Amino acid sequence: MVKIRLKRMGMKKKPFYRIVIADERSPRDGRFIEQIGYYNPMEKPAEIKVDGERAKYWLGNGAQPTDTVRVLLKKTGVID
Amino acid sequence: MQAERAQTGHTQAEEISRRVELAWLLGFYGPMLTEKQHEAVSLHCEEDMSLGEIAQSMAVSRQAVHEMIARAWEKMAAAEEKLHLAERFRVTEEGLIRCREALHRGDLREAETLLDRLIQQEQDQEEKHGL
Repeated sequence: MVKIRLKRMGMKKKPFYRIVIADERSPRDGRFIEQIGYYNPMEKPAEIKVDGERAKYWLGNGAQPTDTVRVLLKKTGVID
Repeated sequence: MQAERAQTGHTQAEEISRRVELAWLLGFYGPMLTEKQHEAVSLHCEEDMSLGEIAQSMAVSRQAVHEMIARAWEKMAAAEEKLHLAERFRVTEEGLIRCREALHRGDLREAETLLDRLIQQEQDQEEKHGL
C-alpha cells in the first residue's frame, strides 16, 4: 500500500517535515516516490504547503494519509 | 485509530504539535534514552509511523511501544525541566540572530544589549543550578 506521510528532514534542532508519497513498508530506508509539500512547524504560525492537485491524484489512487497528514490536508482544504 | 486517540486523549491537531515537541526534545536529550526508546520515538516523530506500525517493525506489542514512548517523553521532559537545554538554545539562537541583524544595521548599542542579555542568561543558569 502507498501512504502519504510526514518525513522529518534537516538538522536535529530544526524540525522540518516533507510531505511525501511512500511505500508503506520500511519508511526508514529514506526512499519515497514523490514529495507533494512540506510542513515547517518552526514558523509561527506553522507553514504548510501542499500541492493539492498531486495530493488529490494520490488520494484518488488509494494512497492512505497518516493521521497527521490528514490534519494538514484538512487545514489546507485539500480534503473536507 | 479511534482507540489510539481515546488512549492518549489527544485530538489529531494536538497530536501534530506533540510529535513536533517530541522531535524537538529528541534533538537535545536523545542520547539519554535507551536504544529501544530512541528507536520508537524516532520512528514515531521523524518517520510519522503509528504505534501499530512501530510495534510491527520492532516486533513488540503496541502497548510496549506506547509505554516506551511515554517513558522516553517523561525522561526528556524531566531533563528539560532541570537543564532547560532546549529553551536556552531557542533563546540563544534568537538572540544571536537579532544581534547579527543589529550589527548588519550598524546598531552597535542594540548588539551589545542583546549580547549582555545572553551573557546574563548563562550566568543566571550557573546560579540557579550551580553548573
